[in-house]
Amino acid sequence: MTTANAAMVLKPQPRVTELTRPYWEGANDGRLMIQRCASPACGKAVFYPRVCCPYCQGAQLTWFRASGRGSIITHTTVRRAHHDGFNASVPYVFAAVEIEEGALIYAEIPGAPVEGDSLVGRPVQVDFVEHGPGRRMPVFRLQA
Amino acid sequence: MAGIFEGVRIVGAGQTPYAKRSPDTVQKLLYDAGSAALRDAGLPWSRVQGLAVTSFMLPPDNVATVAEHLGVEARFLFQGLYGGASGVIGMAHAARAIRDGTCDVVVVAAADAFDVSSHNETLDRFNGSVREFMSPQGFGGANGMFALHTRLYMERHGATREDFGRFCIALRSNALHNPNALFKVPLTMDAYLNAKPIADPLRLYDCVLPCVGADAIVLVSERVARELPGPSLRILAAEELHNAPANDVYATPGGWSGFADRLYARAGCGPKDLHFAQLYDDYPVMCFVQLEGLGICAPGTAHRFVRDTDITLRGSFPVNTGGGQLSAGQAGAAGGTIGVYEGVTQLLGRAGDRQVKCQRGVVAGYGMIAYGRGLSSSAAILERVE
Ligand SMILES: [Zn+2]
Repeated sequence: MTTANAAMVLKPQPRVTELTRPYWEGANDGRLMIQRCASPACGKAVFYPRVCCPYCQGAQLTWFRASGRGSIITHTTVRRAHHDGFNASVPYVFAAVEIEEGALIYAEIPGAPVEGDSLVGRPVQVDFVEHGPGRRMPVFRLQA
Repeated sequence: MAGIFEGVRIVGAGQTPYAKRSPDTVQKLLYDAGSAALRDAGLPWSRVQGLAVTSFMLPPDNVATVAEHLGVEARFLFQGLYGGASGVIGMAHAARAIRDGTCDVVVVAAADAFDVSSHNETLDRFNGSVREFMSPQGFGGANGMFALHTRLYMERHGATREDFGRFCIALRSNALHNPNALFKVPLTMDAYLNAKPIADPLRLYDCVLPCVGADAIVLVSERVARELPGPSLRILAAEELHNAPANDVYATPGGWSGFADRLYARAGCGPKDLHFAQLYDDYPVMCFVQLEGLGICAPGTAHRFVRDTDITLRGSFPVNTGGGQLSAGQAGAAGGTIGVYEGVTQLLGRAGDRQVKCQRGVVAGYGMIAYGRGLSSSAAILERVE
């Protein structure tokens, strides 16, 4: 596929469901919305969105706005796209980010150097970028 | 020795050649591998009473419609839903059915017919969490996911690219003696280190090549085994573990360390008593994790184990004696049965040019890529009946 064609292919779009709507609506509004277990004995932050707490199986999860601060657990530079929608984006840095409230989120790190020193442990801050029609995607940016 | 799978024997193994592409359907591949395994055992299809089948490409068909397609009247069916962990798990389920007297002859088979793009498409919508919270975010497919694990392993334990290279080069050397393997030329360290970058730190030869192929084995009751002229194997123990540890993707990837003690206790032997390991090698880092999880070396030392131990066919502890998926190819879900096929073939003494001296070995599986890791781990210890 040529670059010109690749640019026209949409990236994979999430399917918004009742369960995931607060997350995606939050992203469109520039807020990182995460679930938290309502059980006082547990209270863990939960991501990806679940129907129950995966730590204590409690039924009640409530949405809260996360600070958006986190750090990089591990990262890669993607050089071969897994989907034609990313052909125009490679190479880019993709990471597992632990947010300070304690949940793991996978996201692109736009602007991060694609070569060079390890970024493990580096602090990051959430941002939101255009991802498709009517859709913004949480990403993280390196903090100084 | 009485064991948990008493009265159960493995008597045959079969494999199709691995190919980059083929017009064959998965039904045809399953039939070909199953037929080869039955020929190896000396049994006709008419004796088969059960099937354990794994194939990502099988839907909308399933193991029951495969039984119909092949004309097998089945008392036992199992369909592997755990990706590359399913070969060992299907074998264990079949063994329980035979032990319990449900049936006497079961074919355990796996097949797929992938190329790079159909493999990516399948993985992209593999399950809900990948489809919604990894793929749209740009995870880079399985390559990206295991690049994240590889970097973490290197940083935690001081492993280098050369350590993973040694592993891949040894497997390639093994594959050169496997007529069914896709890769036919030796791999040099220079070629490994300078291969096309895919997802840092992974380069081309760290990544399995999706392809077409199938593997099968035949399990029978001891009663049927006695009718047959050839040797037979027993399953000393088999374990599976899923989603372990729960909610901790990067603790110790894979569940083998969660069941290794039970596996060896039930088998009545330890890692020092094994003569080979057939590991699930989608990426070399996962083999390092299996070497450690299965107690073959200490946690965090697999890279040093691979520096100090010859794991080729000539070596003191051969690993993936047929070249594994890294050098034979990854035929989708058949990747979880290639090690089972290879372990059985070695222990039956039918490995030809690549035969190693062995009486007992471990076969392991890993699969069901989900949020950041494979969820399912499995392993079994097999032994030739003397
Ligand atoms: Zn909870």
